[in-house]
Amino acid sequence: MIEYYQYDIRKEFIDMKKWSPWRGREYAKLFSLTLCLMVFGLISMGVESLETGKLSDSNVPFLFAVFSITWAAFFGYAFYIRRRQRDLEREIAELTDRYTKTKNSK
Amino acid sequence: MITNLALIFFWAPTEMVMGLVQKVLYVHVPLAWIGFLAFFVVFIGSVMYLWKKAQPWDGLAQAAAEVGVLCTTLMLVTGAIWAKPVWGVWWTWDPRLTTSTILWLMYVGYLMLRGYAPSREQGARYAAVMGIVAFVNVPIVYYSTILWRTVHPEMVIGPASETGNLDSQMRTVLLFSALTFTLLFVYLVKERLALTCAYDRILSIRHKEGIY
Amino acid sequence: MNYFLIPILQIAYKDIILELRTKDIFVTILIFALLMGVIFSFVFVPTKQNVVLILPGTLWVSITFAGVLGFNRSLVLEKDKGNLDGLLLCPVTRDVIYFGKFLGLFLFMISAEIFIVPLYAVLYNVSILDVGIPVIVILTTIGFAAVGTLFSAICVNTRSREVMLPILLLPVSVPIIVAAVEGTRSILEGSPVGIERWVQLLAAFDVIFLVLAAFTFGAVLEE
Repeated sequence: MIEYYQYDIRKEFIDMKKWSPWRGREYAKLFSLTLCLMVFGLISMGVESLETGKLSDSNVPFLFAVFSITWAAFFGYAFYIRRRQRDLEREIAELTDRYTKTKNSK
Repeated sequence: MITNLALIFFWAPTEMVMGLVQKVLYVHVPLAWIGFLAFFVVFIGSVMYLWKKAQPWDGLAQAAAEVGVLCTTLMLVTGAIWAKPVWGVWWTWDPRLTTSTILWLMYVGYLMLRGYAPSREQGARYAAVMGIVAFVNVPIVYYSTILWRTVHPEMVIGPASETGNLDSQMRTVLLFSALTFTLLFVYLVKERLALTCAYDRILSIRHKEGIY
Repeated sequence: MNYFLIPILQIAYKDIILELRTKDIFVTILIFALLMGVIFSFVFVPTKQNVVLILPGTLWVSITFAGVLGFNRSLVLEKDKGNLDGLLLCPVTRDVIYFGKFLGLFLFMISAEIFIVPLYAVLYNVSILDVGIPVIVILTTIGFAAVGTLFSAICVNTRSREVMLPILLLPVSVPIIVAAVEGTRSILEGSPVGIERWVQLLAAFDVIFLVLAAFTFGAVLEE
């Protein structure tokens, strides 16, 4: 069991520093960008359906529901992972501070 | 996140006129593909973990299982939403849907097993066994539900067969969306793995210090 | 060969001796299956027209859930006085332990089903005097006991083990339940033409999962 705990993550193929969490403002920018693109896509879709004469409006809410659910799910999961990671990294920083402090005080 | 932007770009310009709800298939089918890919990764990770007892494989299996369950849930939900305008019903019991439901149930059981296990290492072992059993069971379930459907062909409402005509433009869009979803999957699995690494690191620091 | 077969029989013998003293699992499976038969006769009223439709379903659903309860009982017995550690100390390979426990659980289920199936035939007024029915029953029980033993060993150390066992076991045993129900139904309808598909499916499931579980049982039983 000791080997399990002293598992060295540098041997891991993920480098943790690369995946440090973004700031909140960057999230907001990305989200607004995706929202604009979605709206644009919807508008162009509506225009195109008008042009071809197929006014199947009754199906648009389904389509919108699908895309919004999918996007919400993936974004939500990514946000959830990011938030947990931030918490864990904060805890790592706390623990390393405490550890070095006790080592220095000895 | 850049892959997500690419996803949006495919959606906006390349619009197929063949019925608006067709577009749901560009999300639903790639979700099905990466769901299956995720469970294949779980299988590989479980086998390698049981074989080599090395920790990264177990982390890979767990990350892939979580993302896979998410994608399968989305696949079932989007499939139902797609089915309502096209077939008129929310759900039928044809082989693919039934197999997807059983698949979802098995991997939700996998994640629950990890949660309920007494210790992390034991949970990893049990979950590895469950991952192998679940993946081996998938073709058997598929075959049995096909046999079952040939005996009972007309269920609640028998839908017509899938829209099998893929002209080349639709195919390129489908492939492109599959590619972007695969990239999304790889990204999510990497994120989840980083989370596992952070958790392991905390455990190792705590063990070194002696606080639990 | 003796090193393989005799320990299996000895482990199964231990389980059978325990069971003969308490008759715990056998009574659980029998009574619960009968209760479900009674309840289902209120839910789906069995008339002469629809009895062939509903009998296989209720029979196999009852046996499945009764089997899950029986496995839960055997789980409790394992954990109780450290039986599992005692088994691990045996100088045999892990798949021998698996086959021994599988044989024990299989015999318990079969001994209960010998009573359950004729009682259902009596309750629902159906004739089951056909050679196909025992074949299906035996094959299904082999498959169910195979995965059930593996999952029992997994769940014995888990929290809320009685909840985890059905959650893990039922999706995995969907193919055998489907095959058993359809096979029984095609026999009862009197047209056993397509039955070899179901029998093949059952046999394939049994073989695949016996081998797979034997391989992975070692990983499950480690400390």
